[in-house]
Amino acid sequence: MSFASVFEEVAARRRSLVVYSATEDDLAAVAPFATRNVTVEFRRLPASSDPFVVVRDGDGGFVGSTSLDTLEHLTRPEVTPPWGVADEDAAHRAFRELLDTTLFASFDRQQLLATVREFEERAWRVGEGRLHVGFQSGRALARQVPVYRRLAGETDLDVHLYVQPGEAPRAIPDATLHVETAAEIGAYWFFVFVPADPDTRQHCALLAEERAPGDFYGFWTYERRLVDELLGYLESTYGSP
Amino acid sequence: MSDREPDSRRGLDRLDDVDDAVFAALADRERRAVVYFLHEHGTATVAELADVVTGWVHGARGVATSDDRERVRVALHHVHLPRLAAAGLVTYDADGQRVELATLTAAEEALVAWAADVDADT
Repeated sequence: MSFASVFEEVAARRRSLVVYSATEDDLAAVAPFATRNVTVEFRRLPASSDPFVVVRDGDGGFVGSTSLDTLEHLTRPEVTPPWGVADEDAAHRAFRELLDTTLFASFDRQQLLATVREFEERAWRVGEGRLHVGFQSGRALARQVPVYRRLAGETDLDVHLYVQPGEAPRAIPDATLHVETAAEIGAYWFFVFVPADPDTRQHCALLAEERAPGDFYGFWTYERRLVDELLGYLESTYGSP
Repeated sequence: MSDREPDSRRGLDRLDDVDDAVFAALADRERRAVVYFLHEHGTATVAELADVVTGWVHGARGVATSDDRERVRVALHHVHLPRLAAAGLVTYDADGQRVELATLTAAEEALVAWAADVDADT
């Protein structure tokens, strides 16, 4: 496997997002998720109805639903550091689970950062396990050094950071820095967390590719099998630096 | 009621123009959601109504799950659709999978319109 093959597997999953609203303008809220295998539909509601989205799987089965307000929070989030995040509204987190392992076609850096912050906060809270994070550039890593110094230094997390050569910091205390020339390091932004106790079900991962400047294509997942696969791939490919 | 548009009450001159069963049928948020949706689309499958009522009534409080949806589906099947049908507001097709809004009297239309206004403001 490779990052590219995982992408293909996720891209093949079919989902439909149905926007129930009085106005078709509300379709814009799900535009980031419209891809070849994620269809977006509109069903009209009477005027003055509160709009909502229904997520269905490839067989038309109900996966979940949420108000458009909650969905819009996901696509226009405020970004705060992980330990500063007050317990984010359970509904927003539940919504991310609703779109678990669903490809987004167009998110910007701020939107992705909000998801990563939630995952960092999860890793911080769990406090033990393996955390592997890949940055697009040495500068991107440098910006996050304060966060990862805390994660590595103040928890029992085994932290591995990946970056291409050039502008990479020399070392991060308590973390393992992998400086790799492989093309996929730098091409993908990734975050993979496997908790020490697998039964806590706190696995999470994000994999994103910048397809146009500032425009990301990718997915987040809570699926244990996929997260384990991603970690296994990183450990076997990049082992000890 | 003084700030209600007079039009929404046109056709409903006396409360006894509407059967008690209709009032009782509409006195439930989930049943009103069914009527509003059918008013927009004329007909819908029970499956879609379960999705819509879940999203409309339960999604507003956060994320609604497939467990929520199953509770709604069961309530539709055992309670809501039978009461709406008994009140003459909807009809079912033979295998019970498709529901259609009945032809409403002017008084019923006015009552539904008024209820929709109240629900929109709440």
